[in-house]
Amino acid sequence: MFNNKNAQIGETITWVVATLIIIVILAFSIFIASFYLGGDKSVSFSEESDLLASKSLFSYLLTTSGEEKIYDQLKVEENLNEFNGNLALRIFKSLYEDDYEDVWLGFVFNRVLFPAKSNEFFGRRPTGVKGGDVNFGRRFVPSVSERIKLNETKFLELYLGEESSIK
Amino acid sequence: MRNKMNKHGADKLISVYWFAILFIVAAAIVYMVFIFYGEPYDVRELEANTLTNQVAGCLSEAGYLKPNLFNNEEFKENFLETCDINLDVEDVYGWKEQGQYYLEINFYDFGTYPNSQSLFEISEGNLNLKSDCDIDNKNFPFCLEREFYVIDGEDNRYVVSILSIVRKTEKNVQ
Repeated sequence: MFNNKNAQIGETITWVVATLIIIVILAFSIFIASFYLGGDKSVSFSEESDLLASKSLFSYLLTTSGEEKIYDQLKVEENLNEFNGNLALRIFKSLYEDDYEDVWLGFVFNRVLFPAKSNEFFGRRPTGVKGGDVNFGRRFVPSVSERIKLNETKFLELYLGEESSIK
Repeated sequence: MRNKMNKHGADKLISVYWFAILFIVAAAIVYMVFIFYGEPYDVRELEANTLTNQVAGCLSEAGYLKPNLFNNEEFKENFLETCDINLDVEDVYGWKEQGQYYLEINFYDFGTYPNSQSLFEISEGNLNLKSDCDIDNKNFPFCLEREFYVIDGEDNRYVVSILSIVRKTEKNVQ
């Protein structure tokens, strides 16, 4: 009689624990579904390229100063000069600053050390890496990069970062 | 005899328990599916970006403004056909009568932008949608305004502003 009662208590506890486990698993699944899967379902445009910025960059390179195109100036010069630097600032900062937090234009080189050259108009090139606590790690920010080849090792790069990153 | 009756009672109780658990699990799955699929995907941003890119591609080629386009009334008249843009929509929710898209292209002089008047304007679609752009709510039309810099063959510099508006709230927002 006594043994029978103990067995019933054991069986009841098993069922109660099983029920609790089922409810916990379901609650966790509903939580995940509500907060991570059921949120904003707007489908965004791919931000790997920006057609309008790319068109602006082409037109910028074809703009002439005197008889010379900016593309030809950049091919031979060490860095942006007064004319093409200020023009770039007016085009890219004023047109794309609302869409992107980081806007940078300058020379980049095919080398491992110091691949990007800073300039007085846009400063240092953003690294594209968001600074973070050591424990939380660092991450890359979504960005668009348009590169125009000027010679074998030198490129003109337009960098547009959706978030600001370490410089 | 009595033990046998007890066993029958316990079996019934367990059956009721299993039905309850089954019901809870099924309800939770239905709820999760509803959360995931209940709200439609909002593709209006995608549509507006596609329209903007199509217009930009039509106006500028290899860095230059396409010739015979600026201040050309014929181009303005046949803008949609020339740029291969179709603003037709399916005949649901009264969309056909209302018009679900609006496109506005403005050409500004680069030297005086943004403090200058538009030099040339092209617009197509439902103009009434434009007034809703000031309201930042997903139940209102999605508006996208972007600009790009362009030069023509004579090195005249322009800023082209493209405003693309997509309504279609019935299918994209719940």
